[in-house]
Amino acid sequence: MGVISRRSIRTKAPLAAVALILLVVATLSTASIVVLRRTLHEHAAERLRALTDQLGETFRANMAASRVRTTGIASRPEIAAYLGKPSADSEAAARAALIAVGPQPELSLAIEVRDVSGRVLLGAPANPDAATLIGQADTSDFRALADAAAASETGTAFGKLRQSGDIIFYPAAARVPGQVGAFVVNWRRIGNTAQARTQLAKILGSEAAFFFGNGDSTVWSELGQPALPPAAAPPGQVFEFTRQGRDETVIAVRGLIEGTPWAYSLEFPSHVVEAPARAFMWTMSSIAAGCLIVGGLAAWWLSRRVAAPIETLTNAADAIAAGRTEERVQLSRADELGRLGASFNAMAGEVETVRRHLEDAVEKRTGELRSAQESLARREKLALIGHLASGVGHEIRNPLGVMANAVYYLETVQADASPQVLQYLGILRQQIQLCAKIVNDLLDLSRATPVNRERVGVDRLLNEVDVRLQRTETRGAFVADIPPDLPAVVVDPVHAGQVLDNLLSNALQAMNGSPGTVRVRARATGDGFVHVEVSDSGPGISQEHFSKVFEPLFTTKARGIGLGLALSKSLAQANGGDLTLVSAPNQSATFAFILPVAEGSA
Amino acid sequence: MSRRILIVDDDRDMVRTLCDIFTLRGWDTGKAYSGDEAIDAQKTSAYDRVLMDIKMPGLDGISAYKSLSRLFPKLPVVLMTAHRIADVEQTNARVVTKPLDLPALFNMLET
Repeated sequence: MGVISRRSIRTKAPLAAVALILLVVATLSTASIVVLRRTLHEHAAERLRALTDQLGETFRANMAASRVRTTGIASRPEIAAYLGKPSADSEAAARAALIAVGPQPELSLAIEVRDVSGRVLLGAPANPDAATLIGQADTSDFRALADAAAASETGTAFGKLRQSGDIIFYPAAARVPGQVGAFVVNWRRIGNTAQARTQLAKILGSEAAFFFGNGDSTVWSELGQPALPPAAAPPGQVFEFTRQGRDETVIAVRGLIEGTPWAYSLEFPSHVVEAPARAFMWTMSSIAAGCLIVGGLAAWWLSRRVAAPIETLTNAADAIAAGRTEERVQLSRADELGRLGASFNAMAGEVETVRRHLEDAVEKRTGELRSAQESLARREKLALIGHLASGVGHEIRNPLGVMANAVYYLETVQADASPQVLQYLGILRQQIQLCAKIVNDLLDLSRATPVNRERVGVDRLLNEVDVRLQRTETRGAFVADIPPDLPAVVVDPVHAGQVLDNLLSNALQAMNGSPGTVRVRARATGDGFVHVEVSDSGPGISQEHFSKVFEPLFTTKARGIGLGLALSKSLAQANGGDLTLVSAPNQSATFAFILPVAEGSA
Repeated sequence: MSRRILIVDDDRDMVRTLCDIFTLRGWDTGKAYSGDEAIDAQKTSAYDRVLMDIKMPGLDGISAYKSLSRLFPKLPVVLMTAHRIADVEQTNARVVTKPLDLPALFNMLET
């Protein structure tokens, strides 16, 4: 079952069709042959019965003629005269009379006069061997023959067939009128004459065989030649048997010849009877072979027509199941399979669309999750740092304050000290300011002030930053490109200023004192945001550091604790925007500060 | 007659350096190291200005300011803090952060 179910329809369908045709043809042929054979056998039996009747008539007529002829011989006065008064003259006259009526060599061996015991009283042989042939035959039953003739109404009787060599003959006896115990015996040969053959052929036709012999199966002949007896069977009944020596089944009927000890057998060889059945078989076989070839080819063609598209569909379905959802089928036909192909393609299209949507949704969601996770991690880290900073910062500000006061005092009272002293005091002041800035930055981290967003122009934000930068930084300048029709944004101006401050001072520092330019370019992206991009002409951020720039405590600067960008990103996100790095690794860095557009601005 | 300023902080170095700086600028200075001392000093000496730290043991700067402003409603008081200004309780007093921006502070107290 498994093997069959695995085979392709392309193979199974023609095989099934051929098997079906074979089954139908075999069944029909067998049934037809059985019916045909029965019909043929019945027909043969009918013919045999009809021939038997015909032959019966012929035999009766022949026997009657034979009786008359034999009686005619026996009635010759010369014979009675010789028997009444035997003498050389009467014997010569009687012999002459016997010779006058016969015997004809092809029909008769001899005509004799015998007494009841079988003794030959007078003989007229038809040929020189006659006496020998008759003498060799068994004549022991002659008394029975004589008694039968004596008792017969016609005064005649026929004896059993005898055989001497190839010659088969029988005695026909007639009592001599007026002479008790004397009989004329005509030893007749079984008709091997042309006339007899013609007569028989006329009755039997060419197919039937005719056997003739003693009813007790002792001697049998066919056309005057010795033959084996047929199987025993009641007379008139059609039966089948295998004829010895011929290895052939025959359909036969046996008849008795009235008033004689003889029987005959009419036989049709089975092969003759069944010849039409064989011819039918041949015809049927040819038709069956034709049907098989045509049917097989038709089934093969049909199954190809049906199986090929199914195979195509199956392959396409497999491909889609394997994830290649762009797979389609090409079936250029308008029938059910064509419609199935079209439906399949429509379904595959749906699957592909759904898959794309799903992938996009998953990708988007994953991105959002990753971003949210990073943002959360960053905020947590910043909160922890802020918590620490607020504690430590306060404690450091006091000593810093004292130191700053002390330096101020010394610079005031020692205004005329050596330049080196004044220079060192200046170094102290700057370092104290740097410490104070670090502490201020740290304290800003822990600031949990609510976001006070308001409608503000990007140019105003930048101006404020510019003022602050000009006061503190001395290493460069920035060029701003802000379109006049840029929509207003809605952010906390303090937060936004802090972010811009950080971006610009980073950019200025990134150029390491070289005469580069920091560019600030603002543009509305049309999706409800304004991007403020800050680019420097420095060496950019290496691949190694690229993914870490927004991590708290990450820095590549010799000075700085690495909180600026982390803090800026948190502030940008808290204001409904974001801060991203848009340049590629190792290219001059560009950061984009994304700010939400105020309602009503476009 | 020179102006008089009371410097209040529990950090003695802070008090000393500020006193020296204000003395240089021509102020008479007084010292206190807690809120209670500040109130007592003001009661006794009636300074023109008070510069006081917020976080101090005992009476803190905010509470001391509240008492002083009740007792001396017209007395200008500037509070100092090492915390962020946003974290300081809001009062009518002006607040500066440490380390002090001295020029700005002078500007605030001398006008």
